[in-house]
Amino acid sequence: MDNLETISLVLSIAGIILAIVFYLIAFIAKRKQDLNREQTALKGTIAAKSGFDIAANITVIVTILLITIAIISRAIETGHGPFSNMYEFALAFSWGIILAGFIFHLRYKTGSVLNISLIIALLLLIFARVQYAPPSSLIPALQQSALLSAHVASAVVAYGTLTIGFVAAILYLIQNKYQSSWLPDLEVLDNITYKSVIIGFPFLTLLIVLGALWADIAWGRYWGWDPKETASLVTWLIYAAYIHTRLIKGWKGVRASILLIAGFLAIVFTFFGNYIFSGLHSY
Amino acid sequence: MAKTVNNSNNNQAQSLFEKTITQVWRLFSSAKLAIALILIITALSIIGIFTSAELFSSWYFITAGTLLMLNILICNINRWKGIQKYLKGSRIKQSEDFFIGQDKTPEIIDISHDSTAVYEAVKSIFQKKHYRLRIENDADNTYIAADKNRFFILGTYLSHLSIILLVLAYIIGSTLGFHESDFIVVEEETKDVGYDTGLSLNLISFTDSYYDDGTPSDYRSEVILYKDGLEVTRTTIRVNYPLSYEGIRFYQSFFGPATAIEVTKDGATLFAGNIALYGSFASYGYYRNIGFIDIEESRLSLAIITPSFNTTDPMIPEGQLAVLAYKDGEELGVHLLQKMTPLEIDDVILTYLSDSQYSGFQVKNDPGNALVWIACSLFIIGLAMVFYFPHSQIWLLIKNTSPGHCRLFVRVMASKAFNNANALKELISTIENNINNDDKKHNREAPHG
Ligand code: HEM
Repeated sequence: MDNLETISLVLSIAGIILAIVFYLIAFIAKRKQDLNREQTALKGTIAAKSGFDIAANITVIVTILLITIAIISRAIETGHGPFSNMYEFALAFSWGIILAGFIFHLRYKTGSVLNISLIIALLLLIFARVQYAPPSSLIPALQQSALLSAHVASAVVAYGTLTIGFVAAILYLIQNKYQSSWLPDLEVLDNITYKSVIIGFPFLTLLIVLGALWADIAWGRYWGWDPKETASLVTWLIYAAYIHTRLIKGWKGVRASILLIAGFLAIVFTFFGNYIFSGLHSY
Repeated sequence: MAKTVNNSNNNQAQSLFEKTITQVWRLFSSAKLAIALILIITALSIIGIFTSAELFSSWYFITAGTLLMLNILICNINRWKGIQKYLKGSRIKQSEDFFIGQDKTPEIIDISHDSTAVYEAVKSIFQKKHYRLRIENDADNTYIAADKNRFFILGTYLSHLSIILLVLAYIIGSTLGFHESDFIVVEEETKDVGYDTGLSLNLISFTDSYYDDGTPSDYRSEVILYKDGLEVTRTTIRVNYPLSYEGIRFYQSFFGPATAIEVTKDGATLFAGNIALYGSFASYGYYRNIGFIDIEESRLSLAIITPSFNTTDPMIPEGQLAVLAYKDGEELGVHLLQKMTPLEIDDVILTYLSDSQYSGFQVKNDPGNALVWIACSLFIIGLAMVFYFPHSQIWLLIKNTSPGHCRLFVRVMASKAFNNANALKELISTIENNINNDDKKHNREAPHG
């Protein structure tokens, strides 16, 4: 089991790198075709899907499967979900990012959003590899498998989708400045950011609610202003601000992107927070 | 300004009062204030992370929170009229100006078909998308109002009012309930919960166990719960698995050493029982547990101290206890106490009988508990309603211009979150496609007819 887990993890890191290379080749090939067509009579027609595109998609699917294997074999070994240390959580988080990025890619055909998301997932997987901790037994406070698994599963969905929103927001700012034909339309990017929030925000809420429910059962209090709890509240409030400015004031584009980037920084801070402040959370 | 107020009669005073109320009301119904307050609370929370959790009970944090609650309340009361209009559905018959109006997304197209064909195409598109259609006709015009998901806008009330419910639940819990965070029971002892509950808890035993690497694996208290002296349940309380009885919960919280002591005077027993050594203190790097007994008959106070639990104790040998005695507040000195060896202090005799453990519980009665979970569920349900079933309204006017020709006016008013111009473009092209498809069908069918 231990071997299978390590092998899957290492292979998935290779998988992501391979996928990024494939997408880049497909991307450049498509650009060349587009440019050619513009100079010839074929102007306006759509380029055929290149083999590299398909290869990249398959590589991403395989990578997701590999991380799934790593997570499951770890779970079999420890007897619980990926919630006992940074290694396990980084594994789950990168799984969420790649899956969300791939689904958004299938829906919006934006290779650049997926590619940057893959790079973020790659960094996380490398972080996981470095942080590898052998399976350890749970301290009493963490012995609530059902609630904790649901708590972490919500985090994976929320953080996964909101990462895609962050990437789209960054690309929005770049595209807004440079109007590059290499990047997706502003309209599409803006759409992705909003969709990422309307999926991510309810799960972010669920994440906090489940955390409070668990705290009430484990410690006899819903909320204790523990730094990690407060950081997740800050994250939630930033996205609430985004939703209000968008729904009431119609904020889109640059200002909305800046709020999303702030929201994502809050997520990163919450995630790595235990390196900065000591709290009750082990991840 | 002040002069006017001073000289004003009742009438003016009232109007000033009303004016103020109106202004305050307007301020609190503004979304700008909402966004500002949310950002202020965000900023305060960030400061709280890096400084101390005390910030969250400070007057300024509570003020900001209270203002936000007021803001939510007034905002939502204020929106009711508008929402009612949505629920009923707005006017069907709209003037041509309405379609060209302030909105940046009007569209007018001329179509070489009669209005019936256009009407049929529009109708089939909207029915396919499950829109509700309301239609009115006059001589040359067909007016259509299409809307969808109008009841789901009520979700916004669920998500906002649930925040107020949450605060309410907190207030109910902290005023009507109780929270005892240091409910200490020594093994073989029964202790009353108090708070008019009639409950008492007996600790049969406490066990702490550890993994091989020394990290804790389990803390368990075997307990019996009595109500008015009658046993109600006998169970194990562990971390994450509190005992719950009639809304009162017992949480495993902490534990520590206890010791059985007997105190006699002239052969009469003044005290016999377990003492929880629940205090701990550090002195010169040695951490020791400490517990207290008062012997009122002899005006004695005894502090019982264990050997250091972090390293070997140079002062108190393993298996012994130190006793620090006071009489009328005056120190009598430190004595070492050996197991089963009576020791005379002042006019009493102290015997250290055996070691045991105590278990520390939190006891909590939270009448707001159910409301917390109702509020959280409502929030998420409300979110799902507004996000996944967005309300959308579309108005159309089909105007006969000349035989076989008509003009179509369209206005889309979907959520601000989406791009109305795009939605409109998409809709128009669907309508055009639909009409053209009908054409092709008719053309194909024509030879047969
Ligand atoms: C922390 C406090 C708040 C939270 C968590 C919150 C949450 C939300 C959420 C999740 C939405 C989007 C979905 C929905 O409509 O339910 C929303 C929309 C909205 N909120 Fe809030 N809200 C808060 C405070 C306020 C306040 C104080 C106001 C008053 C100005 C307000 C006014 C609105 C309005 C007008 C909308 C747009 C509804 C729509 O057009 O669909 N919110 N809020």
